[in-house]
Amino acid sequence: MSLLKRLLMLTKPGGAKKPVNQSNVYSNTIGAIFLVQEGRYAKNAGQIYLWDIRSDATGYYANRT
Amino acid sequence: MSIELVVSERDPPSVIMDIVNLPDPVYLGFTTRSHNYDDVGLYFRITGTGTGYTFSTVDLGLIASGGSLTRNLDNFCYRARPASETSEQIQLILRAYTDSGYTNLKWTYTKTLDVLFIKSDDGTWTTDILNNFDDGTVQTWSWVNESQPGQGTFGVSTDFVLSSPYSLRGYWYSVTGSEIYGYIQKSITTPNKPTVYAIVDIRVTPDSADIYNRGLRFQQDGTVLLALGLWTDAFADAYPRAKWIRVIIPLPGNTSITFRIRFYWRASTTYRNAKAWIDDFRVISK
Repeated sequence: MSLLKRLLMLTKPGGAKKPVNQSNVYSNTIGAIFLVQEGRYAKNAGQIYLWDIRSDATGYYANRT
Repeated sequence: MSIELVVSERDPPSVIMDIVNLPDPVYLGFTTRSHNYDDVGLYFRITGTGTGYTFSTVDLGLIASGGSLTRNLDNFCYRARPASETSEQIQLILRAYTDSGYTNLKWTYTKTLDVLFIKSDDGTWTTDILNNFDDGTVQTWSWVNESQPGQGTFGVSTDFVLSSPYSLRGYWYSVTGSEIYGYIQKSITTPNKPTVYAIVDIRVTPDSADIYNRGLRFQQDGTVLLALGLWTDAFADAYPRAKWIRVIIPLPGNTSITFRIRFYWRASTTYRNAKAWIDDFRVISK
């Protein structure tokens, strides 16, 4: 899916929409929708934020020793 | 919402950790990203809460209006090591204050994370791949220096191991640039199971105090699945050096992938060497 098509989808009235083939959608308690598997997420209706995961990636770990 | 905290959200549960061979208590670290959507600069502080957990409180400092901050929180929380598979929740609490003394609270943002501790030797998991390198071979891993192709070495090593006698060590250096990029990788065909995890025990350290751990990425081919630190230029460690850590990465089932661990170091000196070790790499499934 092109970035333009994705933007159009995300800006449809009613808020962010789940893109095709997007299985890992995660909603937090205040409505932000994270589309991290594809490296981007969109926020609430009327506000669009796109991040490339390479600049916004996060993670966790445990001490092994 | 005027502030926000971004943590690893690939696919709930958000945090997955294998307790086998972990020390007790279990310490968790996070790389988080905090956003300030307010019209003024604010001072950020992060802590957390969870039954049985002890959290640190970390002052992140001033984040400008519209700005964001990625910060690695080493030893951010700990709990007693579970005896068996355990599923629970914790809350990360991000607060924003108007003053540097952290007294005038303006915003609070709480992020609930699902935490799943698995016990990979409890009989419910299949070990599909175990690379302990103890046969003295690299067990189909390969090595690339992106910043200066061919500069460095790669092979089994005895200097830092989790299981004797060998670990796998990559060694990168650059003779002309102050930024070092490289990776190790392995081609994997994952089992046809609903749940597949890669378990990576890894130690990364530059050869001198003038070289810094910046970014560490765990990738499926070119796609970043999990990242620690920051892929930006600065003279400071962005994730811990000289410390074995464990990362678990969910993988798709029944898929042929290149599993890649990619590194970025920054040097403030002309001596530009860095090493990374892995040992007891596993792919498990059920």
